[in-house]
Amino acid sequence: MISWDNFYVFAIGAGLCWLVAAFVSLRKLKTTFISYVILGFQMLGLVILSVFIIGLSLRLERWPMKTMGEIRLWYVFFLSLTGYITYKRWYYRWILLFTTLMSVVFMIINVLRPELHHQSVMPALRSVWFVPHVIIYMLSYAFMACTFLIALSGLFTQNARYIHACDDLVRGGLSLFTIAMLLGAVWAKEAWGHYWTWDAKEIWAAVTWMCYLLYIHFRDSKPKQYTISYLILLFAFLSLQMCWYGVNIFPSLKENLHNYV
Amino acid sequence: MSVTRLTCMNVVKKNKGYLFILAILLFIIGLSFITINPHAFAFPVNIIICFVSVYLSVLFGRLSESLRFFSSRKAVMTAFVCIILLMIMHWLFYHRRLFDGGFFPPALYDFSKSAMFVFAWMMFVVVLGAVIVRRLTLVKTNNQWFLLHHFGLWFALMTGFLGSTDSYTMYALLTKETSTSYAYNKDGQAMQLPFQISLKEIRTEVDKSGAVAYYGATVKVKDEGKEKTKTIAVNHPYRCKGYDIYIMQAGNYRCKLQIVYDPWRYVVLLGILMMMAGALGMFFKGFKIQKQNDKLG
Repeated sequence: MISWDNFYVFAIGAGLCWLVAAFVSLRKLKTTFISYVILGFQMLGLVILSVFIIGLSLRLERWPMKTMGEIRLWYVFFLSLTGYITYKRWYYRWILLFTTLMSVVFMIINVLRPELHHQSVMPALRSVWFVPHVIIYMLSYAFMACTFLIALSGLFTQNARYIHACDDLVRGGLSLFTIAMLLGAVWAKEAWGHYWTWDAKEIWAAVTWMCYLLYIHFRDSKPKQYTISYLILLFAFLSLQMCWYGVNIFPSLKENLHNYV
Repeated sequence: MSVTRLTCMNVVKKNKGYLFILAILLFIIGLSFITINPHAFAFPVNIIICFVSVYLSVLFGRLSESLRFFSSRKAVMTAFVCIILLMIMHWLFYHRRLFDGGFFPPALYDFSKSAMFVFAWMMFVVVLGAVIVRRLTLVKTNNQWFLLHHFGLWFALMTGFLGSTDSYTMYALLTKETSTSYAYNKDGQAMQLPFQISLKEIRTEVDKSGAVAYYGATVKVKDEGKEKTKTIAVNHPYRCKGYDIYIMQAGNYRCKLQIVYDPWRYVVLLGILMMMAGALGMFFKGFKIQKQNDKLG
């Protein structure tokens, strides 16, 4: 029976598949066979993780999206998926390795800190709005993580070539972020009586959203100033980390309506 | 002209930039001391404010050449930076303990009601409106998703902000078999409800780990002689005569209810839906453009 106790088996299996795909993708010479090998291993890793997610859902009798550990599963899944899409679309040889390393780190955290998955479900989270809200957020976070890695690379190499990939990824990720944020607002009205309450998590969600909007407007306004664009992206990603889990370590958590995440 | 006056004018001329910054700083500090009571702008004042801001948006976006700056990308980016800084400041003041001691003006602790925040927010809405007006009049093609998204945002921000002036949040503590037609706001002020509410029973469910998995209250609502029995649970509020009733806490014999009167709730929702549709459209449009670019090489 699939449970958190045997997660390490699935984590090792998926991690190894993604690492093989990532190292093969580093090769300069690309043939159709190599492309299929990369696709095959990447998809195999995703299938292994999907099997775990489905098995865990059956065991828990609900979708695993309630605890930090469960949400990380989705983040890992989408990060690998968007990492592959980014690689396939723009052919950055290093992107798969970075997204794989990030995914592996998150899986290791889940293996080493089992207390993250044994929290019970709060009544406020038992809502039809929860699944789309979290899934779409995780997908947008994965887009933004790819953007962050590309921006970091562009900043260190002072290469303007990466900025176009950032533009496309930010536009896609921001649309999803907006939808997830608005779904959350509609849900908040049903749960708490207000669309927006300005608690710590909502403040950082708004800061993150505005930072990415600032990036889009800055790019339209000053298309040649790559360094500042990359810096805005780095700050935006930091504020996204504050929004996701950073707020939990500050004393404001006690007054926070989102203090269960 | 006296020598003193001439000297003063020279000093002003030489330090024009510094004086401008000083004036802005004084203005900001002044605003940070003022707390705004939102209900002072309740209907019809909020409608007048709405018309004034629409007029300013049209003025900045289309009518006045000299004020076109307010619909430019520079103005938009300035507004973004100001709002981002203010929100981070808001978050910092959320940690009351770090800033307690009476050194800072009280308005900063309740930031969404601080004049500084209200001013920045209104500026943002006006600039956004000006951008929409400019886009509407100058760009004719490939515009629909952009306009839907931006107009939805403008509509949600404007109605959410102005609607809060007409809305009230109240609390009522109900004990079993007692009824009330009063609720209290955060300041302890009693407000009459257009119905009478009483608590019939409370149901709590606990999961295997001992944590609360569900809590709800069955209440009787008496309105114009008719009595209805309804269950209120988390994520399942009950709506009665424009009032939304939420359960906040539940014990063995009593529960705390939150009662929200928000006549603008569906108007704000309309803005949110427009914005969501715009975001969805822009997401798929992005892929379409990418596909076309791929075809063109």
